[in-house]
Amino acid sequence: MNKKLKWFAIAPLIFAASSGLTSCSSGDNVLLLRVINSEDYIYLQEDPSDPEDMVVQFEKSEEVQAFAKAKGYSGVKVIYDTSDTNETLYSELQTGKSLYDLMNVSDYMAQKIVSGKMAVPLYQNGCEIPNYEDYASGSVKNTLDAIKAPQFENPDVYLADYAVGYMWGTLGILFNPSYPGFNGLDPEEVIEDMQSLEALWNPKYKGTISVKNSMRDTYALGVLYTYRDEFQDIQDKYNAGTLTLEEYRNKFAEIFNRCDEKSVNEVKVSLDALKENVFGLEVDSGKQDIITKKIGVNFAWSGDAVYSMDQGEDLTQVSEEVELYYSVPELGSNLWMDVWVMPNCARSDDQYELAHMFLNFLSDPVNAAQNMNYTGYTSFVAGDSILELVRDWYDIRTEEIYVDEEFQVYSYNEVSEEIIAIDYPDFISGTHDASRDDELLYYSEEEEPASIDDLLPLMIEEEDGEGNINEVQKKYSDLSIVDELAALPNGDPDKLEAVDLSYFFENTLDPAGDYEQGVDTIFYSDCYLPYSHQEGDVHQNISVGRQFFCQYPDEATIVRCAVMRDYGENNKYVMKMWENFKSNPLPVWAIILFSIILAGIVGIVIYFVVNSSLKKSIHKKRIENK
Amino acid sequence: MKSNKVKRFFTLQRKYLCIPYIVFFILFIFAPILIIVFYAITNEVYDAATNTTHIVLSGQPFINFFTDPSKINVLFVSLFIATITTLICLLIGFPLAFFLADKQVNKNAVLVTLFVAPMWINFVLRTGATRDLLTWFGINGGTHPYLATIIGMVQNYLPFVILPLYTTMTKLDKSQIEAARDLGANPTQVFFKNIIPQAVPGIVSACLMTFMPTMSSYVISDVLSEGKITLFGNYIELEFTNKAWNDGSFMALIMLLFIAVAMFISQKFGKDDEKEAGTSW
Repeated sequence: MNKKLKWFAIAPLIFAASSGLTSCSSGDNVLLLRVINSEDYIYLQEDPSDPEDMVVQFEKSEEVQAFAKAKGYSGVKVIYDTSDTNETLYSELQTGKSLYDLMNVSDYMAQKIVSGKMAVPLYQNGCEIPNYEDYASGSVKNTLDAIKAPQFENPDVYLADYAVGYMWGTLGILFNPSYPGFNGLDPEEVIEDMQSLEALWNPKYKGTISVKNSMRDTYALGVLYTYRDEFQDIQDKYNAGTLTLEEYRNKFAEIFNRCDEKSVNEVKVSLDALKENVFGLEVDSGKQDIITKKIGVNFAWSGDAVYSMDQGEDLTQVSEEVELYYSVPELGSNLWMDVWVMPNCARSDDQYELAHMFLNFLSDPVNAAQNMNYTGYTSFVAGDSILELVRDWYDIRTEEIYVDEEFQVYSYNEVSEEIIAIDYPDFISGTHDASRDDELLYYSEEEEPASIDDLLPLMIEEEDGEGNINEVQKKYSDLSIVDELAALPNGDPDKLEAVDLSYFFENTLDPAGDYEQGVDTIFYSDCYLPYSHQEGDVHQNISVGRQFFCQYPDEATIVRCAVMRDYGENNKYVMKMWENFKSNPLPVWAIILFSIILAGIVGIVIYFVVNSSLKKSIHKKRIENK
Repeated sequence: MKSNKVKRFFTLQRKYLCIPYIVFFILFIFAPILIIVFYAITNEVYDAATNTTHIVLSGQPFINFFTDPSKINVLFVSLFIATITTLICLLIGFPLAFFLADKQVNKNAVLVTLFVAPMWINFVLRTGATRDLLTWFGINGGTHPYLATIIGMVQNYLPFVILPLYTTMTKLDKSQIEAARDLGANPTQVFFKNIIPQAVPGIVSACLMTFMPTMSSYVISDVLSEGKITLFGNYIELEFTNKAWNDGSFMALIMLLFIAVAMFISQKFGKDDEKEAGTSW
């Protein structure tokens, strides 16, 4: 009896122990905030010397500590989860399994969640998000706020009361003008072609393009192509002044959001033709494939485009630099937004308030800049800190000046670690000739130095207010010619471009701060490709560029972009279309081969069956004969 | 008496060792199949008046499957790829297994281990590497989606063919082959009339181990055909992501049906083989 193990007697002990453990953690009086976000979509600490993770910074912030103390909690804990797709989040919401205070979803999903009454309104109980009110850029915020999410008995519901914007961007064509697979096409020609979506259907680029293996993105592409004549028509009318901006944008959104049965079938025809012309449909491999030169063109999200461009320039990742460009098709494209919503589940009033504090914290320009710096996506938030960050990244005026032993002048961008030679020999020798200032606009053809360590910083002496003399490194802006840039005509590919982002920073800059609206919101950058072509008297907009253009397209580009709303009732047509698009009939050669093989197999089987029954009958006869 | 029974129930018996498996079986094999069957024979009906959905018993998934040309197309494409893959695997694997079964060549079965070794690396990783390799050869999914997919499938399922064939080949009755030779059969006759009939169980299990997974695989075709070829497995996944639970489950049920048919065939062959073995003596 002793030897027999009475294992069942242990079970109650285990139960007791585990329940003891759980009660231990809940005994701590901590206020929980449950957040779910996409992966790699918030600042995380990479190095011990960097600031801590964004959520930890939030937990430790004075405001939150004070709030916890006032409400009688010992502290605040953020439970931070990540998810892969909007659809997963949605099905978790539907089954009631997801218990989150804040959820990051795309624009159309927010619309769907709010329409389905699965989200609770924000700004109740006197809660506010002052940073979002003050610093979110009106240009994108207004578009988000105007999205209608009609509920069953209440048709007048807008996302303004339910969603807080986080990141935004566009959908466009990422391409490598000097891709070897283009059979020696002139890069200039490629750049010109890629300004239009028709390039993706162009047999010139057959087998070099990949598009997204995702229903919504590829459908958007199909709509933009199928109705290109109508988009062209309204754009011409808008340019000619017969349509106002408001009318143009409404018409654009109307055409872009077509998803009735007839339109879906029309789009299917275009997409079938596209399928013949592309290299493939990618899930997530496109941003890497374009760097490894498997493909030359990728229909991409602006954030992924930035990632690819950065990787292509990073010589630790690639053996040879790949210079990629991004274009927002000239007839228009998709404007996407990722937003925070509050799902409908049990939470205390304190958690509700804490969620607002979290959104407020994320909308603080300083924190938003940190998130942007980490993720590479564009924040909803503008303001001084963001302006400073964007200037540091892209504005040539913040670049420092270096010289080598032969007094060749270079500018150096600390962020991109890019060294550019400037053809300005007289600059150092002191015989400064103001009439030659224009030459600064041209980059030197000379070989660029491999490392910044070979160069000497160009220092000037500066006196501060208290009479001390400090040595300060000269910056590009000290060359005092950049203001003249704005007056220069577009069209020369070697020149810098003046990009006016006043529309984005409007009403968000601190009036007492360093930056002035309308002056400092104009950037001088080589990241916008000042390519433009003249068609008759109509001067086309710039629609190609590099990282800066991906992250901050100019106002003219934003005007011709619309949000693709949830398909609602028509979702079934689009889904059906997508299923049909994905499946394809067997090609003729395969049918022939398949029939031959099947016939062969059937023949062999019949042969064996007949053979064995024959044998058996012979066997029987023999036995009978015996 | 009664207390004795209770005692017996609570003391450890050998059959209790099966409990972990039974629990596992019920939770992760039996219950999911029940759920699939449930979804496959029901349908969701939306009631606009009350803004709710009801689940009703319905043959709609059945009708949807057989009336939708895209689903039938997917079925044929999958059958085609699976058949071709199985045939190629057999053509490559059979001679190889025969060769490996020779004790002089394959001492201590080291060689066969090497051939099966690729199975130890996760197939998703292997497929990613194959994609780069094929691009290097110039056969990428963008230009040759069928070829690339079939190459990837053969690469992945070849070990599954070699292993059962190898096992059968090592059990081949050598004296029977010798007898056939002595009695004047030429090499072709020996191969077709003696070796192949003896290897039938191995061939059948090799076919099963290639055909069914190929039909339902979706990562390999997605990666290597660059999303241009949709197999049965891909399509079920597509249905589920589109929340067409009923249609997707019905397609999964069709897969189950295929598996049942395959099991039936393999059992039949096994029995035939036994019978034949009995009669031939």
